[in-house]
Amino acid sequence: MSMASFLAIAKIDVMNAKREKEMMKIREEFPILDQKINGEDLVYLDNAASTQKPRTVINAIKNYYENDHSNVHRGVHTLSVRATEAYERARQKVTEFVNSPNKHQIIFTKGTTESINLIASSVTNLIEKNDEILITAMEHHSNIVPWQELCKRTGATLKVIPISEDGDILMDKYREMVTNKTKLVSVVHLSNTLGTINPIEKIINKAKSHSAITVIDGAQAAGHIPIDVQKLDCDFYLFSGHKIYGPTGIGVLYGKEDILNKIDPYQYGGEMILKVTFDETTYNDLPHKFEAGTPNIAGAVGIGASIDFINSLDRDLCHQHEMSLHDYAMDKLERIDGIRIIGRSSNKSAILSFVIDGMHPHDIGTIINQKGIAVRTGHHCTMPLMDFYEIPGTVRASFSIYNTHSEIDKLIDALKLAIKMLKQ
Amino acid sequence: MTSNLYKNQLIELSHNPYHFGKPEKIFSSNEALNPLCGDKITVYQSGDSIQDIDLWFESVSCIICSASASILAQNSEGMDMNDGIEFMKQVETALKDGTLLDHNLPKALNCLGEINNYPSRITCATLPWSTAIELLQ
Repeated sequence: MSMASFLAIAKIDVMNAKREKEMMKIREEFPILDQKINGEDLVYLDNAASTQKPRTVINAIKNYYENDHSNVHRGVHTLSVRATEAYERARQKVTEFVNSPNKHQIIFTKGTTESINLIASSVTNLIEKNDEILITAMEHHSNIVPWQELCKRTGATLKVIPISEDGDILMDKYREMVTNKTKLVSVVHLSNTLGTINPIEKIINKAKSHSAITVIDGAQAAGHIPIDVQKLDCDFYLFSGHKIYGPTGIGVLYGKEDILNKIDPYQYGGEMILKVTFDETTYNDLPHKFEAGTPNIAGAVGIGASIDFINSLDRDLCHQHEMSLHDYAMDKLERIDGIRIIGRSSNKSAILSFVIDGMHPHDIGTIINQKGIAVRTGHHCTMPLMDFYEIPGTVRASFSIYNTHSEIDKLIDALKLAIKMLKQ
Repeated sequence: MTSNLYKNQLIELSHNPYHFGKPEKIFSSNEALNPLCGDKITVYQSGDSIQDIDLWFESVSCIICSASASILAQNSEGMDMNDGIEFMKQVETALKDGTLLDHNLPKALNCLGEINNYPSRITCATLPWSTAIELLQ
């Protein structure tokens, strides 16, 4: 190695160490990470499935239930007023988080899956027989099945935009597939299996040139990429609380005002009405039209706190740290015989999927769990993508702001031992 | 590193499974999917009838599932249908409720005795048995 190369590597090591020191202060905010699993320090690398929660989020939910809980919107007493303020404050935080032009364009749901189901159900009146709905080959089941059902109801056709072996959308094919028949394009922003960050601006622009409705599944992206729905100009953007350090059971649907007004409600009942008689019902204004029943108030408080947490971070530094972990892990994995990385886009996030020759992901996952290492194994709710790669599943390590380079060393050591064990 | 589940016998069985592949003559077959991981298994009854059990299997699956299928094929071979179904049901129940070692079952099954400590893997072990029961019934 030349002196110049040596100095360059040393400089990177110093930068990594400095950054990691900063990130360790953040790690201390996550109490769950300080525990043993099977007698070993927990190494949590399943962040694409769900991130862990900082104390501020846990305390916000606890504080809400200890001091402010009541039902929202129609109560005149103090607790109801407080609960309503907390709930609507959370909506305001989400509004700013995604740069929505208005607060009433933010609908709280159970999560990304329900957000997609809401759209797929509510746009039924806008879709006709022989219309086409486009999705990509890398979609999560939650961005496949609701559209299949919509097609069954309407007679529309579901078309799948192909991807390359590296895991990139074939944009030329996509451009060919968008026609005047295309009524809706629903695409994942950041693939949960491949880590690919899709060129959604280009995808949205092309879809809009044919007046198609655009839906962006931001479940994985929202915690990693700053979202500006006005700049993106998408019709819908969706994400979940639990993947951005918030609680489970709460999600977000951002929608453009004109289309939210045009489509039908998703569920019917209390909260979503203005006036009810036995003869007819008048629906409430946005956002309440889409929030039937008592909402997940504590979940909203939690997602609000998770947005405060994210806003308190240096997001560039977090991104650099996560990608440094990804690149470090990729480099180490590629040195192990028989490992094949699934998803090699040049524009990707800190998600690393791989398979090991002759070894099943579930066996690997179970064995390395003995070393306290939590990874996700299987099809990651992307069975058609597994079919594309002709594999039953992958091992997926997904990194977050609180992970460390030494945790990746532990992952690599555990993988080597698992391989040795299974090869015997 | 140790893993109580991954015993040598289990790994060996999965590397050299009994009756792995399609039999020359297929009387009937049944395919099943593990919804938790997408694994697939096809269990075949070989021969001209279902009276004397002669099971074969093909699978894209983990070690637990392959080894369990191998044990199934070897230990049910030659049983008549009623006895075979009863045996398979007994094993399936024992795998699920963690009582595998409490019954007078073939010793080969002992290597799956720890499965109950790994709740997310129980379906891997039971899949061949439930698929075979469905096939024979």
